Amino acid sequence: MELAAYPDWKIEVPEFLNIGQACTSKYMGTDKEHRIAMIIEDSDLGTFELSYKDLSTQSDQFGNFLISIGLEVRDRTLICLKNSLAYPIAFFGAIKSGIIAVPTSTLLSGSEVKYLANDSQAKALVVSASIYKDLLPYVENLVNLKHIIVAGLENDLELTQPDGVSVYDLNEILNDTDKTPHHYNSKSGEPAYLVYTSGTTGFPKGVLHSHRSLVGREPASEYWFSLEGNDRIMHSGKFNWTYVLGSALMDPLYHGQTVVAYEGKNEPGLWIELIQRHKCTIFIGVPTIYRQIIQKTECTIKDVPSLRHCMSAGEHLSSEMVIAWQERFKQNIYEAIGMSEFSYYISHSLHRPIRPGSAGFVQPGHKVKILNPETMQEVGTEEEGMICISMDDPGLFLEYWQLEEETRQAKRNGYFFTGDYAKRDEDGYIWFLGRKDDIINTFGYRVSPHEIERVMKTHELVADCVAFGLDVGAGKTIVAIAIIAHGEISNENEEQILQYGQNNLARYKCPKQLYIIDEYPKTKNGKVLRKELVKNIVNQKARKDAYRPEPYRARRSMLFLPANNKRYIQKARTVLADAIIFDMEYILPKHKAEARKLLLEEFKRDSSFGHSERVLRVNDLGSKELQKDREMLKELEVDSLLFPHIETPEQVLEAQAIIDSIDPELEFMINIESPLGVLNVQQICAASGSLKCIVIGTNKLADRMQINIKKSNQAILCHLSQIALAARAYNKIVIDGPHNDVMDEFSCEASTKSAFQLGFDGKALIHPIQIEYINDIFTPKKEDVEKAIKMLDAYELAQKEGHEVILFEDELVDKYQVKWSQRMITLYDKYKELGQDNFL
Amino acid sequence: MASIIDFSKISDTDDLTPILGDYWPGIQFYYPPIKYNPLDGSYENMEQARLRLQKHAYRTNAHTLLFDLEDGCRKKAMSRELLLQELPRFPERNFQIAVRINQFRTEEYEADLKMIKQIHQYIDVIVLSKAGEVYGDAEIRDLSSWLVSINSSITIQPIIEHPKSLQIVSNMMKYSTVKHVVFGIHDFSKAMAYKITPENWIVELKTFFNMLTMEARINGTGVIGGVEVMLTPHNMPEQCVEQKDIRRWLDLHGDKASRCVYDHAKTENSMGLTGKQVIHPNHINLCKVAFTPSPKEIDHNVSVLKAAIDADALLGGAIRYDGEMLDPPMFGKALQNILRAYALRTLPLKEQMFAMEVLSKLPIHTIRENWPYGQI
Repeated sequence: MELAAYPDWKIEVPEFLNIGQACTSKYMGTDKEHRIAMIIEDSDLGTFELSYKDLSTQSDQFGNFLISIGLEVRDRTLICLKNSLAYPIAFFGAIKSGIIAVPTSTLLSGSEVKYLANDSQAKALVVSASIYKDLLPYVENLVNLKHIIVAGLENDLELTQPDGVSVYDLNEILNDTDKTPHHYNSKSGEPAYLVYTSGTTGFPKGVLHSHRSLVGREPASEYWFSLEGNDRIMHSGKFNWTYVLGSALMDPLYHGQTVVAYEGKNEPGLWIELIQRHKCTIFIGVPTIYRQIIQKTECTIKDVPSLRHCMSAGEHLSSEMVIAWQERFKQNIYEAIGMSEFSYYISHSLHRPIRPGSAGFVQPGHKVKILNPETMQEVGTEEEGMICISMDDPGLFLEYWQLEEETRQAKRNGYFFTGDYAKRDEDGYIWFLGRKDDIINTFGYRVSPHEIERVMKTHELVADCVAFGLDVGAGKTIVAIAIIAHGEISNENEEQILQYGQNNLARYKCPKQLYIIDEYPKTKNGKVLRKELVKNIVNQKARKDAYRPEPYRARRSMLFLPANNKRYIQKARTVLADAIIFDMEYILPKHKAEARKLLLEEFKRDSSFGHSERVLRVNDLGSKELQKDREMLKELEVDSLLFPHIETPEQVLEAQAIIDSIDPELEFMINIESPLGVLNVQQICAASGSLKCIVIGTNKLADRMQINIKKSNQAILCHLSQIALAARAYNKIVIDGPHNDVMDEFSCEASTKSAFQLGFDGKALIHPIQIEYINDIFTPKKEDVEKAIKMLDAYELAQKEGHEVILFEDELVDKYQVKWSQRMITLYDKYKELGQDNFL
Repeated sequence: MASIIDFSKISDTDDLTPILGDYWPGIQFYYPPIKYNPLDGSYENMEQARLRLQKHAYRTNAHTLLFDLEDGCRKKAMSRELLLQELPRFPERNFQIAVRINQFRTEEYEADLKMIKQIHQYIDVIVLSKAGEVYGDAEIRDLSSWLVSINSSITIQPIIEHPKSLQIVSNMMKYSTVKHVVFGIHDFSKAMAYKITPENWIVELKTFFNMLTMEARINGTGVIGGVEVMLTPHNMPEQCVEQKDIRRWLDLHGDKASRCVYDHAKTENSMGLTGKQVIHPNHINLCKVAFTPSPKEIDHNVSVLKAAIDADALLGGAIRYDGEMLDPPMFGKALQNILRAYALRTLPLKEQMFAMEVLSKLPIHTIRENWPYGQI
């Protein structure tokens, strides 16, 4: 097919450019200043509008405010907002003052937000009022975060003030702050915003973009958007997503258009209604939205006569969907691909006929090649290669945030290596083949999952499909698919679907195994987590074979607190201890009734203690007080019970019966704190399979032994070892007792080290001052984990060649070291997930 | 006798420099303007050097950014060109900019001065290599009088890297442009034919260090400590400020070299040094925390002084405090520690005003004894 060549396009990068200024204040003093820049439709709160003039003034105020509270150029501000007018005000306002905006999803959990706050070292956080309370326990006591700005606050609502952080109301800021523009005169190459990748591999990593990325996306305005003078753009996405940040926030506003965005529950008919209501000319969605509209509504172009251009990105759009849309809406869907590092640079456009299934063409102005990454030569037609982008492309990101090595690996030899594989057909259309990690290597053939999915999705019973490689033996990988089906699927139907694959795909590509699932694990932005999906399916298979992995629970630090002290209980909600032990036993008898009342009240008010496990230490077996504790436990939502003074296996069984009568799911823990308990420790551990954890009462034990362990636990070391030995023999967690001398940090540290060296999993403690050191010592060190990862890679490679023992960095490595390393990596990941440690 | 200056009239917006002197050089980070890449054996080009400067130098956490045009610099002309272009573009900063220039009256020295003449308003300090080794203290005289005609606020930090210089250091310290001197331990030990070790140099050169600090104290001059050569693979996080956190990090994460560098910096701090030069970015935080009193230390010093004032014992007598008997010399040390935090830019405003209140109660000679860096 003869296609007209795209014109030469040189992207002009000015020396100075500020995205905030260019997207909000450019139209001040022109006819466009009163034009509506943004309309937000909120299903709960109603419709809101903002003109270019107001956006310019309010973002100036926001930027001025950040500077007034001490933020400096290049500091970071985390933006955790719903789709609202506050979004552009905060995002552009920060950038206007030279502060790096860090958008993040409101769907992230508290610990995930905390991870991003720590990683980006953000000094300020802008957050929607509706999620403020949930985030609060996670954003206290962070090293850098000193300011929180709450948006969408209702007048009469009072905010809880977290420790060490100042809280401000965005409404007040916009009422009181100076409106004089003080824009930071940034050079085009200076950092402007930091986005985090969706975490499809490992932990999220920051991708730093500069101001010039705005002009770097210029070609898309003609070769994907096809913008005209007065467009009204309906976007279905959330602003925090890189692709939405560009296509719904920066690019349309830079061109003076009107954006309509939505906040609320997603319903298929809703988008059509919004396009109608706002007379939108352009619709931008993700394939799922298009699919819902086609499958769940009867709408046609007659319902939305204003619509003239439809666009899609984010994941692959099936050709079936493009055709169905063409039939009903009499127009094409223009697809684009991009990534966090480089937004939508390959797309279909009005200028060339679209070819369903392909990704289109590289927009003019971008220097993109499909290279063989080994030879660095361009691949030929229909040959597979990696998409590589010239390093001087202005749309390209600056660097991975504080990951110099990763940046160096990705940007080399003058190119950025995207990791995405593609091929060109004879007419030059680019066909996306997938991430390097996604490509299935089956019996020597390399197969793109997208190709299989494209075909399988055309079967009438398949609503959605993900293809992946399934390891079925050493070096044997077969192609498998996980589908979401239309309705119930019989065994016969499964056969039919697999047969369909055989009829329509090459033999080596057709799926050999099929799994029916209800939904895919997805990132917060809706991308399928392929690795996670494969892991789940493999785990499911393994579970069928009666293997049930024990979920690991962090118990590095277990903080005792008297259950009758309200202040301590409230404080415990924000401390970083892995477990909180509410002690009913070690308080005066006269305070016990009051303690039960207080616990019930506090748990009723809020039963969450962050990541901490909630442990109740009950009264002695056989006591009347224990009966009362059991009554309380009917209403108290704790995770574990700790029984004091256990000395015999019979007592273990008695405690076990109590747990079973309350809730068999409760974790079972005991204290060993007497010489008899130590002597019987083996029988105690053997008595119950449900017993999870032994906490040693070192101080009571020392007391009974009539020795002083204030300065050193040397005198009871052999007893501690004995308990650790028995606990390990019967697969129990074992926790050292607390160090009582709060003021003597040195001896507390020494006793923690000694516990760690004895193989304990954690240590109990009595004062929060001891938490950090204790958590830290029981956390594997980053350096060791990095070495372990390399070692496992080397071992895996050697194993494929038939070796069982290898020499790695002058050390002999066998399966035991491998197991040890795997445990260390698991623990490290687990603790890192908690986001509690500054040194990770 | 109370001070003749009425400190009680000082407000929190007043400049305290006449009383307390300038901020100290603190941790001086040697920054190579044009960097050599040992991997491919090449030097940076101008654009690469500029980008690195914007990325790292703009936001250094050292107290002084020291651009080296002398020993560590092979591309001298290009380095000067970079400074000419880039120093005027530096954003607002809270650290000093120093330039280490070449030895007196060499061709490179003249070229360095030519550059300084063009961008003097962006430079705070000139660090003079091999000071006094050829022309004695006349080198300082000459450079000082040249500076008068260019920019009288620029100060000179002579590097003492030869016994000859040490012998005449007292004369060099007489010039008002010299507020601090640098002990160049590596060249000095070479000139002395001493075989110093990276781990123990501080003990091995103790005699000369003491000679230098004594002269400096007499002349009210500060001393900047030696460069560590040990590579520390890990960077202590900035949030480690209090002793407990530092110990935790060094204990569980730091390597032997980090512990050694930290110990040296601690020793230099205890010798009253006003700064330390470092050549590796990982040394900055380590040495900075060793030099800077922590917030808890400051709280403790403030409460000691408050107790002394309450007992009217600041100028005479003794008090019992937290298990110790304290008298005026101890109060002086507490005050010095607070002022040290001021000189290293970490003293909060409230404590600054408290320090002024304490100073207002002291006679001038006592102020001078405790803090010789001001102009009173």
